[in-house]
Amino acid sequence: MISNLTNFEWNYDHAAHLASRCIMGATRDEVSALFDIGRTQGVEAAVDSLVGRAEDWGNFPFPDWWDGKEISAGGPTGSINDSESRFVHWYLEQLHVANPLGAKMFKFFVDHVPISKKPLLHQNKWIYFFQHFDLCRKHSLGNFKELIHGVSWSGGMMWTLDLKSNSRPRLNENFGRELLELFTLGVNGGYTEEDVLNTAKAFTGRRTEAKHPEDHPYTPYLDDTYSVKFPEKFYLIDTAEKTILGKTFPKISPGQGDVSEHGSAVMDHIFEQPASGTYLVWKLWRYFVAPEPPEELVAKLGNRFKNSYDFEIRPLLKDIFMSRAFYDTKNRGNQIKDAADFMVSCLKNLKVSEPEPALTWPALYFLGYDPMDPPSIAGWAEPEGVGNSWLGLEKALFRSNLPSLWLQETIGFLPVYDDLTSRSIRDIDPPGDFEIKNIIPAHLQEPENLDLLIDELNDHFLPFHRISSKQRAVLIEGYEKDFRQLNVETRVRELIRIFMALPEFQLQ
Amino acid sequence: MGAQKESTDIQNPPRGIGRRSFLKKSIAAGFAGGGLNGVLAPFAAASDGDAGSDGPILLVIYQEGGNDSLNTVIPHSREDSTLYYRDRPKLAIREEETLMLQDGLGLHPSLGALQGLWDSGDLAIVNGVGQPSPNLSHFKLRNVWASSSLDGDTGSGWLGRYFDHKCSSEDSFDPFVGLETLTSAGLSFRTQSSNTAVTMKNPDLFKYLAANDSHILLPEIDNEFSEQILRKMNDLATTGTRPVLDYARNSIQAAFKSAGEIQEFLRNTKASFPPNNFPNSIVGRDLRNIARYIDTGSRSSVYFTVQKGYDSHTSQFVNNASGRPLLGSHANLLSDLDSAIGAFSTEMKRQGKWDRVVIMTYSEFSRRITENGTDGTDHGAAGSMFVLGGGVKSGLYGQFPSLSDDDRILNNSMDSTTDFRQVYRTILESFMNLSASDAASILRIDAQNFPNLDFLT
Repeated sequence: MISNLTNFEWNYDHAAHLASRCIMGATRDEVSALFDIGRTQGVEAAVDSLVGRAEDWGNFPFPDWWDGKEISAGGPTGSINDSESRFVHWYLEQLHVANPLGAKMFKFFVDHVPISKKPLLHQNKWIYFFQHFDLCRKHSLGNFKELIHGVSWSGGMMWTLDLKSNSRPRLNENFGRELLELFTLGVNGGYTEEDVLNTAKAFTGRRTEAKHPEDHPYTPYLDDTYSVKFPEKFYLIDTAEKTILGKTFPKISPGQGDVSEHGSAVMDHIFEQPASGTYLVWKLWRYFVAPEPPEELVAKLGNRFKNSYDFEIRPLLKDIFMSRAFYDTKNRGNQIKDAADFMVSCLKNLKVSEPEPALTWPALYFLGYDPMDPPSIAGWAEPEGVGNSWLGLEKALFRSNLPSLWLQETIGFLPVYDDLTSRSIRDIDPPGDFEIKNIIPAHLQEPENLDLLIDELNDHFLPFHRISSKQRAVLIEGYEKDFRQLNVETRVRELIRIFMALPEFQLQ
Repeated sequence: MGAQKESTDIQNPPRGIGRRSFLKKSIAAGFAGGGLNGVLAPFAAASDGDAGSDGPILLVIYQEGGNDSLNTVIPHSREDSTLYYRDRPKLAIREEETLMLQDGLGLHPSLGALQGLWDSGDLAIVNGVGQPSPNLSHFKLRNVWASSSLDGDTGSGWLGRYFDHKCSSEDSFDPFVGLETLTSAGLSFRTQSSNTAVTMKNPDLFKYLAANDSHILLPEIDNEFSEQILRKMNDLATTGTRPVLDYARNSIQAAFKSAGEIQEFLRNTKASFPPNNFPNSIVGRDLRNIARYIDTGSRSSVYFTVQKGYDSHTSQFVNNASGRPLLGSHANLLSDLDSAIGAFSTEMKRQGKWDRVVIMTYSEFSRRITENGTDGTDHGAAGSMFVLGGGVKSGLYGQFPSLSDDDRILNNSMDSTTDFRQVYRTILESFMNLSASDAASILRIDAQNFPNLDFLT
């Protein structure tokens, strides 16, 4: 039995906690809506409103340059940097406006099975990036096992972990190891070095293929020419009998079944291991709840995830969000927003759109998140857990400055790179779509309503926290004394800048 | 992304306002200024014993990804060297190609500067460094090294605990006790006290935005009012309710506090300093920045930086014109590291501080004795570390692991003969002047079982 939160207990704080963890940059309105559903229809209905919502990823089609048919290299303008910034913009838009929980899980899987631009971009293999990210979003609320099967055929992953060059005569265990350690079972998941070796052998022979179209010999880039396939060359495959995780897979002979299913059979066996359920549950708990998951609960949920849900994500998330442990007071407001959470928080709190690609990419980059360049195959530092590493001193300053992009309409805090885009960043206008009236009623901007304005800003930006009366006094004094030479609008913008630089705004 | 400009008009606001308010602030915060070409030296030490005056300066360089130690410190003519040549038919480097050390070992030919430092008596090589029952995971081992605990506990790092020890009371924590040139705060620097040392990759970014950059604020307004209001609000906040909130607040406060110093430093030092004989690479630029901070009397006693790219599963080498495997990614990484260390040591000697410097390199693990099928090597276990500095006793430390088939562990990996925590202990005790018991407590070891390796004078 897993103890669930009851309808009688449901209150606004529960709604706020649920919203803040499932919805990037959850707003006051979203919390209220969730609270109302829970109050009138029960906790399960509130959770279902998040978990049950379908996403049509077709609303976020690949940009028209994704398959490279129109250009010879490097994306829409021939500049790799320009294409990268457009790719990152495409990704951020989905995190910002797609089904919130779907987006949150999309980000989770981009981190769980990250691919790196390093081996890909010099080959202009954009197509692999789109295919891989598409796989992650398709399974964001789908099936974990199917996702990992897909990953083993993802061109992006095959380049990132050398799987495309792993063969019987040229064995490379990079993919085999990370499949066990990072993707499915975890470092203490019960496998041995022998299992790593034999898993690597089982995944020999997979190849990516680049055919040059006849009329474009230097354009190894087209849609239908970047397929992933199994080679006809049988000698590339390690056909010997091998034992992996206690099961012996017989020798393969030509003509006996589909040899391309060799790795797939091993994959199915990996998903028979108990750790294949508990490892993802452990990681999801750290991502959504707290850095030290309760062992007993993880074991129970892991067992259900594997044996009852057959690795379907939705019922697992539902269990997590209905459990009493999720709502434990010590878990609330106790997680530092990661870079994307923070960026989306800025967009939603200020009611603005994503900045143009040439600004979105460096903004995320200096928050510590280049989605095409994970620091390692383990993904970004602490996407799960408390997230301390997102707030090193340099990043703390950058986060304090980022809202100025809209509030001060400046790009003065972004470093200038000459080769960042095809244009110089100095020629790029800061976004001009922020308007105070979109978030604050006009009458509250009058100086005589300062108290009410501070209340409103507090509720808007820090819905889970109330500033103290002493802090309020500092704000009032600053507003009346220090800001006296500023016009009314600028004063309000400065107050917003202060609220968004408070440590409470860094947490969810 | 491409090379960053040292400074630009957009990056540096007009001087007057920032400088005036910095002087106010620095007096309020009690920073004593030393002399630097007649202007304020923001980094200058406040008291004796800090790095800024005459204390030790430790530079840790983490070779991320698992350096192939056997092709770094090469066993070309030892008793079991035939096994090195047997198991690395493509990768092995011949005796005559190595830079000679002693005892049948030689350095990779890309390590010319290191050989110079060996010859001048400034390089100690610690061989066979690892840990009991190792594991071949990057991520586990990375945390093991950073935390100095075999379970890879991510609660705090060994250097973070050293900072806690050095800044014994909460109020006295100085962010400049250590500086890592990373964009994300690393585990090695993580304190137990939720205080934070400086994490700074791009000094130009290291400031709270001034109004002067704004399109819409009046330029004559001293925009540091907003910063002052924020700092006051943070000072007034209730602490102790949630550790994560305390961490976030400490981090933001420390950032504001250090940003003024860093920006003043940038204004007062020439971007062209020190003379640029550092390689134009990430590690080269990081070491050059560090040399620049040290030159102004930085208070930091520990610097930490990362050189990425050592995970050489594939195409670790490229053959040269003579068909020898002396070029390619591993050679480039070593050459880059070697040039950066060489330039740094030259600069420290020029500054007269080489005797106060220790540089330590490490990697989370070494690689297999046997090469793999894709011109690379897979994850292995024990390997060699470099320790350099004016006060280092040159020589070989730790027993070089046996390559014999029977002595191998984990599918053809070298077993360790020396525990990595012995290296840490030696540095903390013999260089950072801690007592054996304080060093042991920081490293979470029993001092008796982890003897000092005695590579420091």
